[in-house]
Amino acid sequence: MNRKKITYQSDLLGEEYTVFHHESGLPIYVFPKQMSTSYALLATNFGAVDHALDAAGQLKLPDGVAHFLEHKLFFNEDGTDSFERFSALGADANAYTSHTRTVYLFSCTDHFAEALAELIDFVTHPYFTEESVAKEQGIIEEEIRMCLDNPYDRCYYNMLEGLYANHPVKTDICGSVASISAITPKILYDTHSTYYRLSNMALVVCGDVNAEEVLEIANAHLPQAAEQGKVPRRLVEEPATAHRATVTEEGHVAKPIFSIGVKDVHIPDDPEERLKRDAAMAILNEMLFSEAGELYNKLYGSGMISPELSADYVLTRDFGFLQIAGESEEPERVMDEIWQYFEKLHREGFSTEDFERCKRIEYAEYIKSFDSTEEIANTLLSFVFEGVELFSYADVILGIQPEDVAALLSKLFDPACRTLSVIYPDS
Amino acid sequence: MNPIALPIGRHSRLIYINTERFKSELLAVSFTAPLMLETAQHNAMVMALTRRGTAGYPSLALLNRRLDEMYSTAISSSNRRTGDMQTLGFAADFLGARYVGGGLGLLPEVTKMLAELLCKPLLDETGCFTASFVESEKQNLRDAIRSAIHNPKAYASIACRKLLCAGEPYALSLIGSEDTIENLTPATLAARYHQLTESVAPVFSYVGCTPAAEVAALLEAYFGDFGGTPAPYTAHVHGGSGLAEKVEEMPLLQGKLSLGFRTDVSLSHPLAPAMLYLNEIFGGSPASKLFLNVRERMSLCYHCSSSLDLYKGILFANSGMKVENRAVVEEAMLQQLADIKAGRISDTELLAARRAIEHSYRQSGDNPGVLARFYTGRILAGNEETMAEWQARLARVTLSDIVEAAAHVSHRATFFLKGTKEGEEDEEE
Repeated sequence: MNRKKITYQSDLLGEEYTVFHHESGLPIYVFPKQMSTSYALLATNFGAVDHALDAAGQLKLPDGVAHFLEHKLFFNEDGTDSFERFSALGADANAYTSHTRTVYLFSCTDHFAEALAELIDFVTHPYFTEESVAKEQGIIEEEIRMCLDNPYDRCYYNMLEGLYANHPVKTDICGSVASISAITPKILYDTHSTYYRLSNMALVVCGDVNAEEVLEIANAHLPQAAEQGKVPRRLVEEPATAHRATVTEEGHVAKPIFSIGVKDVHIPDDPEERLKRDAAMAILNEMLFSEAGELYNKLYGSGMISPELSADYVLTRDFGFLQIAGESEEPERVMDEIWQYFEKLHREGFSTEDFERCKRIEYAEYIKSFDSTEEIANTLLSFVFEGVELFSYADVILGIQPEDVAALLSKLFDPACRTLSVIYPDS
Repeated sequence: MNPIALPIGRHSRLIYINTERFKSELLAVSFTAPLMLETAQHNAMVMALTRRGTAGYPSLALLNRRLDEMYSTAISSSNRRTGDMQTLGFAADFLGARYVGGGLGLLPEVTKMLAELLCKPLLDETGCFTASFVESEKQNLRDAIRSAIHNPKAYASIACRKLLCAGEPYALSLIGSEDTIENLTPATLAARYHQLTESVAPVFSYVGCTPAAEVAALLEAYFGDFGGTPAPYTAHVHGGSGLAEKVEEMPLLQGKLSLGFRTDVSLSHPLAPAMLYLNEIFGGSPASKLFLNVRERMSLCYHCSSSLDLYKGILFANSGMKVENRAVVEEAMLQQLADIKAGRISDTELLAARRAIEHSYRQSGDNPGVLARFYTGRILAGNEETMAEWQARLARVTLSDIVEAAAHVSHRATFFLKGTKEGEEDEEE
């Protein structure tokens, strides 16, 4: 039934996992872990940025369709809701849609086999009616309004609109009230048949499970032949600079909320190179923005920012950006201070001691992430969809040299690639 | 994974949970003080100032740098309610000994760092906190109080809690209000630091595989003299009568509704396990009545759920909806509770609740923080029940117990945050 398997081991972590390539085209990852909670996720490499049913972009999808489909798949032909079925098994089910993927998941401490069968069944058996789609529109409309009332969400999406002229990453994952009103059962069926091909998906299981049991369930609930056809990947022409330098809006906030976006326009095609860039960026982020660092302490110590300052880097196959977010009465001054600090580091160099400290942090965080079946499964999925191997990351971190970080510093922080998004208090 | 309790010094104790399951270890300390208007804000500030710098690490940068050197040890502080008490503390999450050269690993350094935070505050020659740090933390506190409006859902819940428990400590903010910030001075804060640390009985919790005697010896060395005689635990469980209602306007697209209920059933009550079931069936999960009937069938809201505080014996139900749908959503939410009171609970709902509760306690063994919080919270509330005993009580809950528990639930507060904004989204329709 299962063509081949590969097992990956880590002596450092004392862990291993195996990937099985199922006849249906679905790769199945089993990560045994002696914990009470087993965690499984079935995901498609399809998210809010996938905007069309064809590579040419002629058959355009309404904004928010990936997220709408995620909601609607829980509805079954017999009128039941899969949430209820999971609950009857004592399993805790959920789902989420990101810019690049849609993930269905459950955790359980009992009845694993039945819950896994339910996960595979409901995700692979779509059933939509005019009535159920109309009902879901009401629920998602309220989700959209809730997000529009959230100033942090507004600030984030405004930043993306500032960074990107064309790329659909700038579009709200939920879509808009207007765009979701155009969603029909046919659109959902077409989207499912295009993007939920099993070869475009992955099943990841982590917990006190054995691979034989997982494969037996997969064999019983998946087709035995691979589906034909390729998933369309539409390439979008995107300028190499930020679309707008600033995006501001007023909102019901007590203090200005800011998000500084930096568009990464040097995205390696090779997944291994992307992983290396991601690791180097994680170390650089720690060096630049950690609460132990010079910059943070200058900004915080002078009262220029509130204590929470975050810096998150996102890198995918066709877009990448850094988001620096916080609260300040003077967002523009904060941005100037940050860039002055970059220039200083670029000019004078950074200390090796600082670099080694931050590398050690990234290494420790990686090891600690293997204490939770949920975290392991989600991280493994990210690596799978990015086309890289999970355990290789330890060596990638250890292999990062100061010059890798210096190279990032010199290329990434071009002022032409940045956007300042601010939500100011209502006037 | 049964915990062992060991005395530390004259006033503290250690809850020791032995496990080799995790790559990281946890060492936490918690203590309670009465939640009072006069001290809550000072207590919050004292915790913030100790995390800002210590005698040994006199700046945030130096303190954090040391933590980074300890393989990115993370120390978080907490400030929460346990009944009508204010529970404060620190928790350190650090890499296990086998990844940092064996022996006791980072534990001695982590213990020492917790002692730095709690026992060696950065005080000047006059015995006061550093003035510049105090001013900076006052501004942070002011910002934190003002930023409550950034999260409308939480804002509505907090406003409902104030209505529900008006006049009780539980209604007080854990960080105080803006109009008392100017009462905070380096001298009053230093005085509060001494009063606080001399009148608490800390509960330490450790989750990891270092032998208990070694952990206890380390804590004894650093905290043997720490603490004092604490104020007794209190939780006013029996509330007043009547229904308190309030509406506030805010420029939002949605309205946020928060309903508050008194139950008169707290942790030590025989019906406490049944109340947990009630919450689960009412709005605690995607299989609950609020989720399936109000969200899924009526499709008028995205979030609709309930939450229970068993220390205080109160229940909340929250939702967000178009302002014009408030009445119909509120009626439907209350109807779900009425159905439970009338015993209209299906076998499926009861089974789902039972399994969800079993699952939540079984999986707690996979999370050191959850394990530690379970025992610490109970001990601080004077409840010595083990998780196994609590699970056994939960397993015995019947449908009639849940209906009996439901008879204790009374609707006592309604808060509505009325959105006044006409959004572009609505105009497009």
